[in-house]
Amino acid sequence: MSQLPSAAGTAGAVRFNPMAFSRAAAARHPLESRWSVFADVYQTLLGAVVLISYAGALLYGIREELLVNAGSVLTRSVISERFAQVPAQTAMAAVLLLAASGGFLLLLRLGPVSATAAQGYWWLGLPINRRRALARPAAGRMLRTALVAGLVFLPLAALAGPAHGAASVLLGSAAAAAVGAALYLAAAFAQATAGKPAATRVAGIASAVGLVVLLLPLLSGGLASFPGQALLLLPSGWPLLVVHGSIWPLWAAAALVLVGGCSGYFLLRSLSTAELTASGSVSGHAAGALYFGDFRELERALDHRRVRRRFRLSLAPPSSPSAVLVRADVVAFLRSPGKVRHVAVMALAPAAVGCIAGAGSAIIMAGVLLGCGWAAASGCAFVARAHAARPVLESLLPLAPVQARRAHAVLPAVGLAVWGLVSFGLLAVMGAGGPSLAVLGVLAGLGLAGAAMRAAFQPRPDWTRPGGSTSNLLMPAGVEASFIRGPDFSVIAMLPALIAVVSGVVPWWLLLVQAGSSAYCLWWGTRAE
Amino acid sequence: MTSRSQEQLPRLQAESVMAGYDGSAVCGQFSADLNPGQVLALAGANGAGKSTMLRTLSARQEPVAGSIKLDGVPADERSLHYRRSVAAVFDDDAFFPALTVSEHLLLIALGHGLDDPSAAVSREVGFFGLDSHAEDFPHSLSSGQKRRLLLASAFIRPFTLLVLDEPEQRLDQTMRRRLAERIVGCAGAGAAILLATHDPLLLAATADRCAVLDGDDVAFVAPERAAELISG
Repeated sequence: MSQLPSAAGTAGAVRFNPMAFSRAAAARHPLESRWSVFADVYQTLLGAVVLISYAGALLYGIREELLVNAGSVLTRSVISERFAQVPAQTAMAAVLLLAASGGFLLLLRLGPVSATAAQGYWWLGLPINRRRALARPAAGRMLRTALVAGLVFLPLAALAGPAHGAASVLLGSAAAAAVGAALYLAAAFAQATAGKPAATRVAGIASAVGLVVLLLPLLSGGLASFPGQALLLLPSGWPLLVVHGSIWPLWAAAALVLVGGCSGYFLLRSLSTAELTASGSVSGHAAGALYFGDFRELERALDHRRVRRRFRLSLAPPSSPSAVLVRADVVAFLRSPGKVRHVAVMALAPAAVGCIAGAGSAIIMAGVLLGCGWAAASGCAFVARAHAARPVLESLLPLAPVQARRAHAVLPAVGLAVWGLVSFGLLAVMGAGGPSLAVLGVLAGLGLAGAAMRAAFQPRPDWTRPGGSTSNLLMPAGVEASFIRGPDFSVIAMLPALIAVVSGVVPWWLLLVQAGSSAYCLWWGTRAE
Repeated sequence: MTSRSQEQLPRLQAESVMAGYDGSAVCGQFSADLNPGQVLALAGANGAGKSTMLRTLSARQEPVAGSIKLDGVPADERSLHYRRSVAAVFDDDAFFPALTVSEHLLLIALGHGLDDPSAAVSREVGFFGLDSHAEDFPHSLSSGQKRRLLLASAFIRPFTLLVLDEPEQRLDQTMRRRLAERIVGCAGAGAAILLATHDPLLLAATADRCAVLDGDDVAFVAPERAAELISG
C-alpha cells in the first residue's frame, strides 16, 4: 500500500539523476549496436562536411562565375544600374539579419528547451532538482545551435574576407557560434517568460528590416542617405565585423552568452511540463522528418497548428458545391498565420536580390525566381495538401474527384498568378524586360499552381518499406518520386518565363509557349488520377 | 504546529475554477474542497470537460478563471512540494523505448527516494499482473498492460493526492475491481483522490462524492445517483 510522503513540503529534493539512470539502463540492453551508433555519427559528420563543401563551392561559384560579368549572356546584368545599388557588405549584413531572425523564429518554434512526452512523465514529475535536470540537455542544444551557426557562417566568412587570412575566418565563425548561442538563450528567455508572441513579433520586424534594406533602391530610388554600416552593429552583423578585423564583437557576443546563460539557468525552473512537452513534440516531429529527409513532413512539423478566427466563412448561398470548397480553402488560407506573408516575401525576394550590386546576373535571377516560385507554390498549396492528406470536406459534398481537385486549385492559381505579376512585374520595372514580362509571370504563376497541385496530391511516401537502389540513393521505393513530383513541373511551368529573363526579350511566340506549358501543368495537376 | 495546521487544511481547494482552452471554458464553474481520505469523482458524457477539468484541478493546465490550492498554497506542478505530493495518471502512453517495465518503475522508486526500491517494484509488478512482462520493453506490451504500467507508476510512489483520468480504460473487470480496492485502501491511509470515470461500478465502489459535468452545470450528487446516471 502506498505510504504518504512524510513532512511533505519541507524535505529537500531527492538526489537522483534520472538521465544517468536511463542511460545506464538502456546501455545494458542496447537497441543499437556500437557499430550502428558509430555509423550514424560518421554519416552525420560526413554529411556536414559534404554540405559545407557544397555551400562553399556554390558561394565561390556565384562569386567567381555568376556575378554580373559582361562576358556572356548568362552572366550579364538584367537589372538597370539605377536599381542595383546595395553594396555587397550591406547586402551581406542584411542577409545575416534575415538568417538570424529566421533562425530565432525556428528556435522559438522548437522550444528551444524541450522534453519528450516520456521525459515529461517519467523524469519531470520526480521530486528532484528540476532545474539541474533541464539544464544539461538545454546546454547540449545550445552548443549544437552554436556549432551549426559557426559552420553555416564558415563559407560566408571565407568569401567575405579572403584577404584577412584563415585566422580571421575562424574567429568570424567563432563569433557566429557565439551569436547563435546568444540567440538560443534569448529564445529560451522568451520561452520561460511567456514572451514567445512578443519575440516572434520582434523577429518578424527584424526580417522586414532586412528585406526593406535590400529593396531600398526600388522604394526610394537611391541609397545615398542610408547608413548601411549600421546593420553591422546589430548582433547578426558581428561575425562579419570580426572577419574584417574587429575583436570587440567577439567579446560582446561572449558576454551575451554568459549573461544569457546565467539568467537562463535561473529561469529554467519556470518552464511548465506542458510547455516543455509541447515543444518536445514539435522538435521530435521535425527531427524525425529531417532524419528521413521528408521535407513535406518537416513543413508540417514546423507549421503552427493555431489558426486565427478573424475571417469567417461566407454564409451566402454558394453557386455550387465547388464554390463551397473554394470558400473553405480561402478562409483556411487566410486564417493560417504567416501564409499570406510567406507568399508576399517570395514575391519581393527576386527584386531584393536584383537590388544587390553585382548580383543581378541573368543566371542568378533565373535561379532565384525558380526557387522563390516553388517556395510560393508550396505556401499557396498548403490547404490543398491538407485536403489531400485528409479529404473530409469533399467526401461530404456531391463532387467528383476531378471537380474537388479543380476547386482546390483555384486558390493556388489566383495566389501564384499574383505572385507572378508582382515578382516578374518588379523585375520588368527594374529593367529586365517590358510589360509583357509581367504577363509571362502571371501565366507562369498559373502553371506553378499545377505543379503545386501535382505535389500536393502525390502518393505519400512509405518510409517503412525496405530500401531499394534508386538512381540517386538507397531509399524505399516511391520516396524518390515524392521528392521530384512538383519541382519537376515547376521547371516546366517557369521555363519560358525564365528564358525571357535570361535573353532579355519577350517575343510573341514565347507568350504562346508559356500559355501552353502553363495550361499543360494546370491540366496535369488537376486531373483525377 | 506546522503539521497540525496542515492536517486541518483541505488537501485540494478549488474556488470558482473554469477549465478550458485559449480563454474559453469548456464546462461550468467548479468549486470544491477535497480533504485527506476523501475520494471525489468527476462524471459526465464524452466531451463534457472531465479530463480538461481534471488537468486544471491538478495544475497541469492553466485555469481560465478561479484558483486551485494544494495544502493551502497555490498549486504549481513545477514546485517540489507538488511533485512530491501529487501522483497523476492521464491518458498519455509515453515510455522510454530502451527501458524495461521494471526499469520504468525503478526509475520512479529511486526518484522518490524509496528505502527499498527493488521490493517496491516487485510489489507493484505483482499487483498489476505484470510479473511475466517485467523485463519486456513497452512496445511489446498490449494496450491494457501499458495502462497497468502507468497505474503502477503512480501507486509505487508516495503521494497525498492521487489524480486518475478514467483509470478503468483498457482494464479487464478483475483489474478494475482490484484497482477500486487499491483506491479505497489509499484513501483509508489518508490520501485524497480525484478521479474521472465512466465506470459506474468503480465510481460506486470508490467515491465519497461525485461532480457531474453537464454543459455549464456542475452538480454534486451521491455516488450511487451518479452511477445510475452513468448507467443510463
